[in-house]
Amino acid sequence: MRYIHNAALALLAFLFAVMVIVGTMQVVNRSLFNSSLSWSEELQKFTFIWAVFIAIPVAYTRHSHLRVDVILDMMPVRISAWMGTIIDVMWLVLGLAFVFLTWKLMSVARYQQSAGLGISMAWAYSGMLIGGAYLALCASVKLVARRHVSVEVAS
Amino acid sequence: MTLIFIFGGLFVLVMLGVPILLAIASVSLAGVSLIDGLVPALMAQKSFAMLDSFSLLALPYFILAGSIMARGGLSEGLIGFSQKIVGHIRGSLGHTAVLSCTAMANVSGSSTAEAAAVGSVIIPAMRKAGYRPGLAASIVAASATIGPIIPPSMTMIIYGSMTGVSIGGLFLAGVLPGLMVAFTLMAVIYGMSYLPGYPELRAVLPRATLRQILRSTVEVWPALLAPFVIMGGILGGIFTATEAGVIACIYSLAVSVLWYRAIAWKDLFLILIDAAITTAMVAGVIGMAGALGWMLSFLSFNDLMLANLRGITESPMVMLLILLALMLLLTMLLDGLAVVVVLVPTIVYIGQHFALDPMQLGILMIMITQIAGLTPPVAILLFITTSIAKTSFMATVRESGPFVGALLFVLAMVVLVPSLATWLPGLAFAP
Repeated sequence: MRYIHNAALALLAFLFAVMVIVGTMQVVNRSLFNSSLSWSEELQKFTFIWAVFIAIPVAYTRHSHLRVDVILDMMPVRISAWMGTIIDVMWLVLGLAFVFLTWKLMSVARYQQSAGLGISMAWAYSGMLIGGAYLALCASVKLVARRHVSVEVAS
Repeated sequence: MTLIFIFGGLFVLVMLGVPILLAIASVSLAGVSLIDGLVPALMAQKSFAMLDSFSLLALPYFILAGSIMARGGLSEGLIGFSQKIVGHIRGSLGHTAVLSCTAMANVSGSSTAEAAAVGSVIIPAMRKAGYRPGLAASIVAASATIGPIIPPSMTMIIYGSMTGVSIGGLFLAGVLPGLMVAFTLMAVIYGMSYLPGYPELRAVLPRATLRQILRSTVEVWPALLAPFVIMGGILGGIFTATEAGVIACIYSLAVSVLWYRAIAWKDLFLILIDAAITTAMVAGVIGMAGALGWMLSFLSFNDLMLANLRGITESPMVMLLILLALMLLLTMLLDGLAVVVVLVPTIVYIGQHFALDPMQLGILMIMITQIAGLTPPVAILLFITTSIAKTSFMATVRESGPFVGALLFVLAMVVLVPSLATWLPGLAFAP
């Protein structure tokens, strides 16, 4: 699991770096050489979307997603623990749903070409599939960990 | 009926502590599987399409630029600089907080980041100077609202990319209202220093010498110069907001690596990850809102709202006030970002029918999300500064009244005098 997390982080940093470098190339090309690149905008957008869907699970494992926890904090520990489990299950469902929906979308879009890069749109969409799978994986790991904790408390 | 389920479900989920992204996604997921006539696979496509926008790319770029600048220890420098400029006026540290937030606003686009960055340095200093913790927390929280009003601003990028309003234009529109908030807050603090209840505001620091001011200017010049580079380029029509974001990244990177030497190359990895996570937290919500918006437009929500509101009034001014009141109420109860991504397309749609200026409307919406950050029950900015000040939430809320009043005053000014928002963008994008 640690290897997967590290791979995700490395991929994330790489995608962000690519975005900035391509963005810089675009600005330099346009302002200095007065010629626009045909593919740079699209490459930035696609790497951005890939990065977003891979970073969603990372933010989830780090508990950094925005939430309103005023009411939850006032609840007894047992209820908020229950709510935590329910939320993890919802993340799991969301991850699986994205794998499934993106798969269907990719099978339709396989022959559709992107306007700038000329690659199959399936490549652009696949970031959502990988992100969804990673999300489902993180949620399952968390749920298993939760079970262990509650068993220990019970015994 | 379906609409009631959608909004009711969203409200309940968010209130129960479900992360906003997950709440919006779950409701959309339930919607596409249950409503007849919607193809589920399109949900993924709609969230993709929502993010597939060049103007939205300004978001990751400005977030990255902000985190590079923050890593360079910029907030301490700016606070020292501000203290030398306004420290000798009555209400000294209060003014310092306002001024450093205003200066930070030029590189930071988020009030929560600003409240944490400025607050963690200045609130301990204020407490040492005898400020009640609640008052210190309130002043810093109110000052942090300037962050997203003065460009760059995350909320403006989101608003612009969702509605098609020019982000560069919104950036320019925020300058005057943002400065006005700063002046009004400083005026309020100055006025309060003459009231018997605020003895701590009377303490002043010795006036800094010109030499000291110059020395600290040298320390913070990159932050002071940044707005001229970024806004100058947009105002002059040289580059778009997204390209300005790229330039801000390169600028802050060059300054922190070459000039300050505060960032080693290996820190860059962590900064990139940090920026990626912040981006995903915001952009993820926007993407899911794309799916929800698609479902809402399938149910012709916009026209329904418009028809209902038309029944109440035909006057643009009254309509503007209704929209603002609605936004204020919802953002007070829920998280500002959630309300913006779900409702802004509808609000702008209604605004168009009443010929309201989209720039003015945008600035007002952004100010409202900030005011809501200071008003309970969900007052995110007060939560942050209260935890830094180590006091009770109620102690902070009790002191926040005058500052919320100051922000409401500026909001009213922008409602009554639209030119405050529309004059600068008009200069740049005049036909």
